[in-house]
Amino acid sequence: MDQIIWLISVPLVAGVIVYAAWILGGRKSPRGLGRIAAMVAVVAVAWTLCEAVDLFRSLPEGKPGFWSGEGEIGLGPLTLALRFRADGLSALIVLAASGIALMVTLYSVRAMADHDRAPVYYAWVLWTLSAVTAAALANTFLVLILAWEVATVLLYLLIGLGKPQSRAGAMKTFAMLGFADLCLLLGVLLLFQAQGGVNSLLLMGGVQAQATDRALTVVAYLLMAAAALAKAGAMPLHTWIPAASEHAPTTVFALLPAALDKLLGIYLLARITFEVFAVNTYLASMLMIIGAATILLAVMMAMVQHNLKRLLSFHAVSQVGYMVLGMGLAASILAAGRAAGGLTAIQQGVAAIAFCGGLFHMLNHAIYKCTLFLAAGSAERVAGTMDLDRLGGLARVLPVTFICCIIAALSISGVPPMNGFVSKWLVYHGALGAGTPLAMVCLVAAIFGSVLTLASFVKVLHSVFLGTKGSAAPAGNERKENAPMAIAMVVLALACVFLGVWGGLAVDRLILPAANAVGLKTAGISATPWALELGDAGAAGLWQPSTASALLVVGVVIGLLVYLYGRAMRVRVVGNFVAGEDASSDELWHVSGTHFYETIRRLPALEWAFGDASAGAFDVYRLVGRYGDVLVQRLRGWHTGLVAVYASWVIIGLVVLVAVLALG
Amino acid sequence: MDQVVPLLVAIPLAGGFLIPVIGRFTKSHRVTAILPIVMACGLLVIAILLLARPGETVVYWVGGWTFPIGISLVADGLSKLVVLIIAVVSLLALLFSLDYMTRYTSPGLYYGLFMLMVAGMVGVVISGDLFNIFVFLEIAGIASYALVAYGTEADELEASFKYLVLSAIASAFILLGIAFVYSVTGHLNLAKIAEVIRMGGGLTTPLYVAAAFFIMGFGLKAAMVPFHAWLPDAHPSAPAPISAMLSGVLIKACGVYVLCRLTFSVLGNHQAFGTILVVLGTLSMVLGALMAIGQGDLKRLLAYSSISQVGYVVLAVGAGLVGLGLAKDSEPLAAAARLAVFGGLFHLVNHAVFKSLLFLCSGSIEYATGSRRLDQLSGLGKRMPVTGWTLRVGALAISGVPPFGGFWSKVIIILALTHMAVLVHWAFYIPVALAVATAVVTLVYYAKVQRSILGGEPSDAAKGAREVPFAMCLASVLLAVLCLASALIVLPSVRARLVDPAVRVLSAGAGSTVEPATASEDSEARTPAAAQVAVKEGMTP
Repeated sequence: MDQIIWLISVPLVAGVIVYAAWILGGRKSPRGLGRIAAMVAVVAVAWTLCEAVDLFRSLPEGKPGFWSGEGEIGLGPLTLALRFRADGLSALIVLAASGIALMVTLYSVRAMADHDRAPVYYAWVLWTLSAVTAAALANTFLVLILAWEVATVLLYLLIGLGKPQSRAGAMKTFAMLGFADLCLLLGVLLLFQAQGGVNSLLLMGGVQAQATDRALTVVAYLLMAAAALAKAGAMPLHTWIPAASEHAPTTVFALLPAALDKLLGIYLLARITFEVFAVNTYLASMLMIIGAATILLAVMMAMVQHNLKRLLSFHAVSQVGYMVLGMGLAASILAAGRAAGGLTAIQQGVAAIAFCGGLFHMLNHAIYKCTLFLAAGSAERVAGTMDLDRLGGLARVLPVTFICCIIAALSISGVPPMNGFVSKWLVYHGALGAGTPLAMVCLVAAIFGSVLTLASFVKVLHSVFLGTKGSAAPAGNERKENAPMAIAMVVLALACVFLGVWGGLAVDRLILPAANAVGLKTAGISATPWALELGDAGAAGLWQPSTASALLVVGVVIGLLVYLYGRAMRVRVVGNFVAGEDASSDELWHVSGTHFYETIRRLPALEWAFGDASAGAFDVYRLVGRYGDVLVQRLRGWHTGLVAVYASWVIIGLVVLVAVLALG
Repeated sequence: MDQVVPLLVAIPLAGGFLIPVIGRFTKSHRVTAILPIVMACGLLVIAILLLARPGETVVYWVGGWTFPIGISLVADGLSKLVVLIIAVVSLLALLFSLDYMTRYTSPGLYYGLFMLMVAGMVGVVISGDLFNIFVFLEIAGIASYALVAYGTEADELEASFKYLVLSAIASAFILLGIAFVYSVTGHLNLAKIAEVIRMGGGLTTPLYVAAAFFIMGFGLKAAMVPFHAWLPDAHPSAPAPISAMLSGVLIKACGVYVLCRLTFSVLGNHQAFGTILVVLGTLSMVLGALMAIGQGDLKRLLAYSSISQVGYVVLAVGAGLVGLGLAKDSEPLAAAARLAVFGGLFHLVNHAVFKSLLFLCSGSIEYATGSRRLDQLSGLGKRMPVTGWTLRVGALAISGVPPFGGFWSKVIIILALTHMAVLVHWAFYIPVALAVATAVVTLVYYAKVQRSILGGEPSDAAKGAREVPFAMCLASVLLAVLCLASALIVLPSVRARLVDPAVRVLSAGAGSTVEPATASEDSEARTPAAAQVAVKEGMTP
């Protein structure tokens, strides 16, 4: 399996070359160097993608491939070793990560061309890809933690490449994710203890799943889950995403928080929830509640935003909820089955469906959210702002971006036949199959969240692309698309459509092997290009994406015919009556549409929540900061600088020591 | 081989008296600096020569007089490690002084005091008896009081005075403790004291009182909370290379080293002393880090961070001591305890490297801008690329970001403590959680340092800043390379040479006779420890 080493090292080495070139070039970025760096990056990432595809295809049926490095380091009771494993799940993550990274680098060729530190950007992106690959393929927790930490540091550095104001957001990101990384470390240590301190400390897989019936394992699971959820950005550890979104470079956001961080977070969540631990009912319910709450609360926050990137970032939080909900449902069904003494075939099937829904949503989210951020980046490039009130009417200027944005918006809102619908539908089905009251509540929250998502994207599409031109929109109707950016968006949008229309095929080829890899029984699910069914498990057909798409196309064609028929009728067309005002000014007639959503902010119950949430009362980071500061100031107050005070501390300390030692 | 050991003290001591004389005849900093640099190189060479034979303990009786009137100098694994750290850091600090100290007058005095301080530290580390430890402690102490006050501004004098007063309290109690020990056991030689205590069936009340005095006294030298209050004044006030020496090695050689030596090898009753060290270490670790967040002065922040990091060391060593005390027959526990001791010593090495680096960087920044306030400095990353990068490396290393050494030592400490929690008592989970939390806090305040000093647009103070002269850059860069290189200690072959002999000395002193079951690669370096009860190996006549 030298392939694994190639996968990790090629982007790493390419990044080093780019970085060295930048250092040797005197840290200035003449356009030439930036362009060469971009080319190197694109080639390296494309190569990684080819390797990833190859890895995915070469996986033996149902068995993971292993690779062990030379040289283990013995530390008394522990051993640190370099070990990798490629199975369905990790290969999927690698595939998705390198695919998204390829599109983002392609897009960056033009988008970052004017950035004065472009080569550094490419080097960091390449290293990030390398770190994500290493984390996904790691078979020891130590390698995983290392790669995970490297990804955090690179995210911090990448966010800092944005506008000067981006530093506060970068700092917050670093602090929160750094905390999460340490939670992971602590969780791994506790897990090691739970396993009885065996020498295989850091080995994932091949070890019996830990039952979560002791405080030790529960705490270990909670710590590791906190790390996974913080990385993925689920509530309440999500606040770094919106904070960093406004001023960070858009491509960075399209790459990391929107895609790669989700992949990593959900990957870890899947691994620990189904493979490392056998999660009990309460923990599974907790996951479900976190998922449902994240969906609903974040989408409400998203609706009232006036900054496009901030709005998208809240959606990036909200969509995580579906993934977590899917995982939580699967875990709760499995836990209930275990508690009852054995799983029925139907339970196994439904659990697998819920898991596949969550995992497929992760993949879909990476694709459509990346598209949305890239579209936002195009709009920002043209208009120079992300303020929804000042944008508008960009559809003429950016037609390709507009179409891609519509597709991605439909996808994120879960409108069939896009991919977002398929995965959400699988999650809904999992909730129905679970059948508990909590699952029903979550189902309602998830569906409602989906509706609100659609509502907020109606606002986005209108206020950015439609209507009259906003104050920041460029004059004239000249096309401002360019090839690299357009290609990246179009490929991703096509992926949205493809994964939706041939959803059965996608689930069969991509998702089911991953579900198998973490030990879920998927025998009952038959996924063919035309249908997705819980075959002999007794339930009815789940969804027939291709048939439904064909019907939808027929419906749209009929609608088009009706419309054209209407157009063909002779109608009288007159100018608007404007009572003598000047009707030619776009400024006067510009309606951004954002204000319609202010109603939500003013709803009685929500007004309080939004008021406080804006002030950060729910923000863990700020709370810790506030109370921590009080503590620090108190401590500083004690250090008066008077030598008598200090001497008295010494004497008191001595008296205590003597008392403890001589009398105790 | 044993003939070189006295040179370790003799060279810097001679320097301490020769250099001021040279200083009488020349005002040139460069000329005055030649001798101390040559001497520091000599120390380094001797330290490396000693380390080249890792299993060997070298004993030298001064003047050929042996026990009971003779003075013994002993270089075993632990002493050699600390001597190496002293030699490396003092060489680089002297290199840095070459340009930095041109702003001060009377170089002869400065370098003389510097070498006197080095002589004191080396002396403490290689002395084989309690009274000489005290004498050398005072030599190092008095030289450092003078060096803290070297600028003779009001702040510096005040800081030096506080340092003097608190340190004198500590020294007085240490001397009192020595008197107690002498009156009870009749010996000053560490090995003899240990033997008497062991034969006599353990500690009596006067010895417990003496132990309390020692823990307070050396704990003050090591800046353990609540005995730490002098350090945040003294370390920032000294010239930067002296700050690097004080934080980098002095608190370790005069504080942590002696604490380890006494509690592991001499006093017995390891659980009680180990528990006290764990408590003191945890307190220092947490409170130091919390205080560091609130600082606006770069050097003060670094000083509080020293308290916090030495807290890690003491915590780990203390946990190891508890484990060794309990692990009479339990091999897993002994292994975990040795891992804790290894983690502590590893962190001690790392801290010496990165804290010296950070203090030197703060010196470079002050040299270039005249300020060390975080709120007055920004945008230096572009103005001073070398200092900027070395500061970044130091900050990443101390925050425990892989692949720097600091990451590995913190991970090993946390791993070992987790082991102790399972094998000894659940209460060890408290320091585990606090160690992790402190690591986050450390990450935050060093991220703050980097952000406010290096990032952004140059502030008024930073506008005219230029990169510092070559020698200063070189010293910082070498230390930055060491920050990365110290990660190699985690590799078995390097560990077997550098840190394992020290760990073995401490665990043998604490009476752990069990060899690791994982018969590691360095087994040839491990002396058969079955009958090893000696304190400093081979110290008895």
